[in-house]
Amino acid sequence: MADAREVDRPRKGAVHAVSATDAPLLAVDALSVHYGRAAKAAVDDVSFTISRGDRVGLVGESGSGKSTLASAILRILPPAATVKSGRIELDGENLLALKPAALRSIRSTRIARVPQDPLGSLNPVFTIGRQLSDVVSAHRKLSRRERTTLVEEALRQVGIGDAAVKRRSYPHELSGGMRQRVMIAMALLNHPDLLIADEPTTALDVTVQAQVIELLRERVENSAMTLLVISHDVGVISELCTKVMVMYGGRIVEQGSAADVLTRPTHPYTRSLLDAARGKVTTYSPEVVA
Amino acid sequence: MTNVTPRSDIVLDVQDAVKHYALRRRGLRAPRRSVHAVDGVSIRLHSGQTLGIVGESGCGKSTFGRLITGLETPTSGTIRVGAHGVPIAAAHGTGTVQAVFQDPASALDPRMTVRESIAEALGKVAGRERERRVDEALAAVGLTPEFGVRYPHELSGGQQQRVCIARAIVDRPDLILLDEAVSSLDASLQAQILHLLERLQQDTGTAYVFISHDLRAVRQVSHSVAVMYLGQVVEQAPAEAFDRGLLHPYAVALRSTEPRILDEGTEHVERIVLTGEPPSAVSPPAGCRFAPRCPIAEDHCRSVAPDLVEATSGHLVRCHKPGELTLSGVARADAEV
Repeated sequence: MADAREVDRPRKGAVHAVSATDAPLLAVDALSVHYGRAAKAAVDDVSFTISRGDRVGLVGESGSGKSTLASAILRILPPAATVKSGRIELDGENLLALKPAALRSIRSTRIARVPQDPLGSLNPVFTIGRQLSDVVSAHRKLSRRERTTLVEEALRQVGIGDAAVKRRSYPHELSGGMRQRVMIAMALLNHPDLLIADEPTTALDVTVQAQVIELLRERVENSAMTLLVISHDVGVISELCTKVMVMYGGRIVEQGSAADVLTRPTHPYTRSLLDAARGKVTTYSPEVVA
Repeated sequence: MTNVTPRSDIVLDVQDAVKHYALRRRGLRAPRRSVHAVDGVSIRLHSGQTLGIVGESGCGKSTFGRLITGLETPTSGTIRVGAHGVPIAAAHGTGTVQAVFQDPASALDPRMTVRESIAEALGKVAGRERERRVDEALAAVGLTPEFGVRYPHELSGGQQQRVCIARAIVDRPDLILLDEAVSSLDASLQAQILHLLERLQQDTGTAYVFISHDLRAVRQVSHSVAVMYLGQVVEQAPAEAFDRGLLHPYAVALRSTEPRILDEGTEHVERIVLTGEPPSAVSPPAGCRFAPRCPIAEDHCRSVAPDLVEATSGHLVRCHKPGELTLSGVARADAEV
């Protein structure tokens, strides 16, 4: 892999908007987020960039700050959290300075998110078709028929065949895997530049998890979308991503290409994380299967 | 119980256990329906051994766990536990079987200190003996005596789970049920707890039933593994056989779809992604229960239900076409052995 490993690379004053092609899509610079009056930062002076077309995995254990980081990018931090310093730039535009209206126009059309818990993210009293349709009409003026066509098309793209029937279902009528497909369809409806998947498969069974991973990979490859996957599961990251960032104690301790980080980790934490994830029974390691 | 010499080292003997949950009828004339949670499971487990049970949600693995701990009464079948083969109904509450569940925070009483929680499992043991046993249990799970006076909310998730394990081992049970006991923990903590469980088993000879959806964790700790699908065991094999060749298409697919970490030399891993999701346990398919999702199912599979038969010594499989679906890699590893 060509790109060199960056271990805790200091990034002061991120360069942006040099030209449309080599400027990063997302640049996070010296970002720190605190909860309440806590002295310890949940996200501690984190800097990284994501280029167009990258598939980046952010891996870490609970409490490492990975979800806080994702929430900061989407500006959906809980009230107790405050951004102490830093910048988050999407195509050179500082997201932290945006007014609510401007933020609304960016969400879903430029940055979309697939949540961990689809049931908690869907409204139980509306059909999924209605909820998908709302996502379209928030950003585009279309007739009802045009919206229905879009919604059915989106459902078909995520492998829900009988879209005309399924769009009339309520969230509780669908299985966990189906609901997660609906969330992916919803995230992709307005063709975002950046898709943030926060633990997209954690709530799913293994065989369904495999279906969702395949689906995400296929959708991202077909649409030249940029992907940021957040997971505690190194396996999921390894399956989906070309680049990996490892977070520990609010900091990114190691980042680089997936091939480098996962096969030749340099940071001791990454090494122990990989050892733990692989289990210590060597006979059941991937090389026996492949 | 009564002081008879142990008849064997079998600590769990389940014969044809069935658990159906009746559903509310849709109308007076509507047929009676029930969820077939566990449908004819027979399993034997020796002391000092770990049986891993793996399957997806709704496959009946947790119901099976509730049956062998006496939390549920089987619709039919017999379950005997302990060295004396006591029926579970009689053994319930005697401390022969203990359990550790997924969420330690909800398993511990928030108003009891760690010592009180652990001592509660000791029943009638009193006085200095009681204190000594609690100290032992704390030490066995790697907690210092200072933890004894703490309350659950003062502990981390991993420490809470250690307390639950201490409580399970303190009365020296013959069998411990571990139902998704490490699933909610971080990877590094999981490794620690699994290691702790292995060490405790070597010291005490307690048998474990380890239930999980995580094939990797199950494989790591188990001496034999049973794969469940829609209430039935579809494959049961010694752990070593699990590494070489699985015979049931569901087990093969389950193993191939597990997310794997990129490793040197494994750029392309063949995987069998199953379509759809498990059918309803209310009206299971007539033939093989896996047939609707099986990549190699034939008409015969859809009409005639296969039995659980011994394919090779100790390796049971419920399939008309065992071993026909393979991962090329597994087949290769097999050839090398």
